[in-house]
Amino acid sequence: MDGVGFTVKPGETLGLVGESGSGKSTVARTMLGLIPPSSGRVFFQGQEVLTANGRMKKEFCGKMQIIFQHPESALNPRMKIYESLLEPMLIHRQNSSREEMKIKSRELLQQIGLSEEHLTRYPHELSGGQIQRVVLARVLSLSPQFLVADEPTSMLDASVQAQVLRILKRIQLENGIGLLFISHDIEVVSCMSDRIAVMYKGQIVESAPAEELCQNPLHPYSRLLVEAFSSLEKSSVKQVWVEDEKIDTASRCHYYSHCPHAGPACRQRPVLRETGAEHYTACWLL
Amino acid sequence: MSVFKNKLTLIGMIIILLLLCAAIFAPVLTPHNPNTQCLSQALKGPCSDYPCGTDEFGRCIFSRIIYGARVSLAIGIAVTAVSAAIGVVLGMAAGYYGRAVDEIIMRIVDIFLAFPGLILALVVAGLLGPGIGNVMLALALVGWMGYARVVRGTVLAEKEKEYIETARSLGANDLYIMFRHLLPNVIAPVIIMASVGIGYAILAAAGLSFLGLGAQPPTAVWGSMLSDGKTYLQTAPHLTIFPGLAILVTVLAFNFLGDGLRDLLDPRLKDKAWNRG
Amino acid sequence: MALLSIRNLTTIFNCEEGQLKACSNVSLDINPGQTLGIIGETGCGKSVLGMSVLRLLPANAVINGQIMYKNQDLLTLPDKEMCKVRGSEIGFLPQSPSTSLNPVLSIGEQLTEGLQLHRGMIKEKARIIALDILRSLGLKDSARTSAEYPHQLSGGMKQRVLAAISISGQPSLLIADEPTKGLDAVNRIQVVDLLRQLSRKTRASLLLITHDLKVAAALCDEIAVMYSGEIVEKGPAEQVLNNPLHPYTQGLVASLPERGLYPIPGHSPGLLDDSPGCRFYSRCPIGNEKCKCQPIINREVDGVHVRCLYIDQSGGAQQRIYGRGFQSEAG
Repeated sequence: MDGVGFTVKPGETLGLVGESGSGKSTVARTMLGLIPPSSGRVFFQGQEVLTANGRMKKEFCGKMQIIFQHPESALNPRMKIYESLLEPMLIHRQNSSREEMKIKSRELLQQIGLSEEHLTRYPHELSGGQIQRVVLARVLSLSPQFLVADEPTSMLDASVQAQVLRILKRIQLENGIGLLFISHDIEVVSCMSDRIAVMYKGQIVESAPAEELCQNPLHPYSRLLVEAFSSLEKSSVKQVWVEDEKIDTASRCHYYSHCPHAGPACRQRPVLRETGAEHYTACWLL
Repeated sequence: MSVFKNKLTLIGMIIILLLLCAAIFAPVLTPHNPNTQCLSQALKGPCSDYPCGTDEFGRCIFSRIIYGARVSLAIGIAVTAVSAAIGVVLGMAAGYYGRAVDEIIMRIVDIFLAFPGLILALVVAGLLGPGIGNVMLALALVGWMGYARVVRGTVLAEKEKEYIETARSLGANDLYIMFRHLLPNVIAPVIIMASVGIGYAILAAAGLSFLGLGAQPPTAVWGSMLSDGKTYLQTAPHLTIFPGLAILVTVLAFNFLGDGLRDLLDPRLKDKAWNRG
Repeated sequence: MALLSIRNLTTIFNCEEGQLKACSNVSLDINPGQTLGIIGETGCGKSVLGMSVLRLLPANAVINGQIMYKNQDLLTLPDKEMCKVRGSEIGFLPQSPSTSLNPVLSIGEQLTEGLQLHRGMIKEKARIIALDILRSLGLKDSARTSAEYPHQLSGGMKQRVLAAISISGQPSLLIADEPTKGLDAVNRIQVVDLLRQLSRKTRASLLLITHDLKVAAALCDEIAVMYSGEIVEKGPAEQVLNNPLHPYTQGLVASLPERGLYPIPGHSPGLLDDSPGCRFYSRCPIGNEKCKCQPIINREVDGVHVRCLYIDQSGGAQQRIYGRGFQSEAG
């Protein structure tokens, strides 16, 4: 990950797309202080997150939440669902009495469309979609203002994915949560997001409003991603992908070896610059 | 339930329960006082009055074995509990914090493992002087490394899982994560190891008392009974056979239990394997 | 004449909880050179179907019915004969490229193994053929690749190697189990392209098991939709995907992002559940009491077989059945 910067406004969704290994998850984990960055800063409501400690840190932890990719390891396998649901409140000592927490957990379950019988089950007795919904409910219990969803549905079937995404979107809009939605599926991202940032090998190569990016992708890599879905049905893919990671030299454009248009200018790493209304692209050739 | 499907586990459990009862109700169950000497009855074979015969001082062997169960079980359980506790705490710290902490703890483990266990215990017990308490301490000190290694390995795998990361992102502190999240997930192999470990500790304690380092006479201990009986191995073999059998059966029972627990303790094993399609 | 024809295949697992019916009364045909896609959600029994054909199921599985391959019933074949069929007649492309290769054998060794075994070649000849196959699958430096070990290859290359292994026995039928699961967009195109290459080069039939409707649309001639162990709809790919008749297929299509992310409510019944009626009843937006108790028979509409009492041929029914648009509900 190298020189990544972006902002998410309250109630806005920023989609982050990229292939596996492009550093999307690293971004997510770094923002929440789960991985220390080599350099750089993260601001939440004007305050710095990564250097905070003690009570400030805990407060940030309550307001910034994350959902991960794998439903099978998202919950402690030895804790019943209600224990997992109540955990954030216990850690943050929000509701003091046991009764209040019980009521709250029932409310949360209702919001995500699960019934009370699920409360006493173990995670392995629930399906992937149900678990991701429990995770959503858990996140909600602290009323966060910022949420990172790291490929929340990539392990789920299409119909279940639709279910979870709808709940996520509804919850986000109802509570005015700023959302960073990370996925490799540009179609899903375009359904969920207001803005989309495309990431390639740890660098943001393009960022634009969702519709603009899907209709008018400028960076060659974004173009490939957008076309990837329609080109499935054509007889063959036009792009040749060479597996030559080893020649990748430090200073040139990350996309150099795969780019069909690469020229001499690309030996120097491009930076994001404005290429349209609210449209930023890191490419020399525009 | 699958516990009863496995006959050996069931047998193991029954034997252990019987032993516990014997230890608790020893005064009621025994026909004679274990320490009363009756030289006229010395070295008698098993008969209706003495079910397992008498030793060289005319003490009832059956009664001594029953009373010996108290000491043996106490040693087994206490030693295992202490070594498991040491192992779990150190193993968890090593696995969770990693880096320097891991390095230091695992090197200590290596140092302890470099000595043959029983010899090390012998040295420790020798230094501390004879006595049940010292034997227990010695055995606990040489028995914790296995637990630490197993716990460390499981923690290493488990701490990468997303629920741990979620807990960290919620602002939970390290102690909370270790004891609320990691401990329940690493405890299964520890319990399995412990149930076998109890048997081993009993055996080791018997060995140490055989060498004269355990409980002091006249306290009835299986190991020292064996040791005392060896002089009469040819003329009165029942002096060694019965305490030997007691040790054998007890150790086996704990081993059976450990094997059964292995299958039972994982809730995920009960999953329908073909749910995934 | 069908290459593989499955008749009334029922696969049951005897478990502690009872009998788990992973496939019930499945009948399918694959013609030579054709690609048949089995689509369905996780746990619907589609992988079990593939494994039933290969007879690679755990011991507690009971397979009933008929699997006719080139006029012999695979289910009655002795084990020894079946071993010959696997690999030389029917190739298998496993799901995860990262774990399906033996890490301690070089690519060349793993590839020639099959050639020596199934085609009785001597080592030297097998090596030449192996290099040929690798080259034909787009691994240009095939000599270097065959000397390498799995950990030295990227995911895409491993998938190619696995494909090479699966076709090394010159099978007439290839079974691919979820070849695109968990892959990102770009890798997915590569795999689709690879499969397309395979079926063009070998002219083998392909049984493609997937939950990805788009991959199925790109590759398949025919599609069978599986739900909770049953085939609920089968027919020409275009027809099934563009004008689905069964409410479940309609729901699947409607849940795609570009069709508006309409979820199917509820979740599928366990495979243990053995009620007589329609398995989709509990989630079906148009079902009624009749569907619940009466066994549903297959009906044929314009070459499409559908297991449903109420076939809606008007098209565009999905919009009516599955709720409002994504953004509208969200707003």
